[in-house]
Amino acid sequence: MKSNIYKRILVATDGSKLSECTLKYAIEIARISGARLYAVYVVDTADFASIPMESDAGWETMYSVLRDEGKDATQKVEELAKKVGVEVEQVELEGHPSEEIVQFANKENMDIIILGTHGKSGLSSILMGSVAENVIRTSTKPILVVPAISKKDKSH
Amino acid sequence: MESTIYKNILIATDGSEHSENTIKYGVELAKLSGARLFAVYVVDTGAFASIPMDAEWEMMYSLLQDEGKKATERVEEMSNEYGVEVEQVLLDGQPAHEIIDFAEKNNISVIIMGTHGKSGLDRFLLGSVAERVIRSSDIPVFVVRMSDDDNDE
Repeated sequence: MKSNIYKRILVATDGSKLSECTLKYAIEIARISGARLYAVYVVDTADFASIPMESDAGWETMYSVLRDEGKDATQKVEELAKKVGVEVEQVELEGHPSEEIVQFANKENMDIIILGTHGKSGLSSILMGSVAENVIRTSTKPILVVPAISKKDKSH
Repeated sequence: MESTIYKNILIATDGSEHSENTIKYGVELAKLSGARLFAVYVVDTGAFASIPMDAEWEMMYSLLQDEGKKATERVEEMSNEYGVEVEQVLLDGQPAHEIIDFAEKNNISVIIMGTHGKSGLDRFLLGSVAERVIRSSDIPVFVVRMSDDDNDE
């Protein structure tokens, strides 16, 4: 059941409810191909770099909150994947999300990158999430883009 | 080995030799998932819409149709090597629109397409068809960057 094409799969997660749909598609490819799944969360340091802080302690707190969020997010992928017997490597990076994802994919020889088009705001049924857009534009890897909210999923 | 998530896979091909890599990813996914595979080529009638509807138009149209036939046959050849069955589909109209429309009507789980295509855009831009499909599709889109080594200086 091994695949020569799908061996290492990167799925980007931001821990949001919306990313669960993306995870479903990613875990399934890993399951049927026997690929190793890398669940990647990027602590977006640019996000709060510009926030003026009274002290380094404030910045540290912010940073550790995001790190915890990342840990939860990748943990969640592992739990979901485990249910269907897929092994997951949890990866936490920090920096500019799309850059980190593209770099990691190259460095670690990923065969495919899977990500959602939602931003954390979930605003993007019209606009593509900026992380997805930047990854698509800059990576040479095959990319599976999962739309934020599919029409089918909306009809619950 | 059947997948409940990948049931119907659409490979959009433009017949360029760079599509081969894209096709490989699609066929492999179909093989692994046991999904039904559709090979779709869209005769881009918009590209020659300005030509008056006469013999010349007819010729153009039939040329592109032949090309489309060849393109989807190539997918079939590659699929056969993998023991995967494929349905060849020839559409005409505006490519992104036709691809999405077909995908929605046929309950496609994922659309697979190349991102360089024939328009040969700047390497940092997506092929316009892929970009349009990603922006307007509610169905996951799997884009494969076509190798531009031989095409890009």
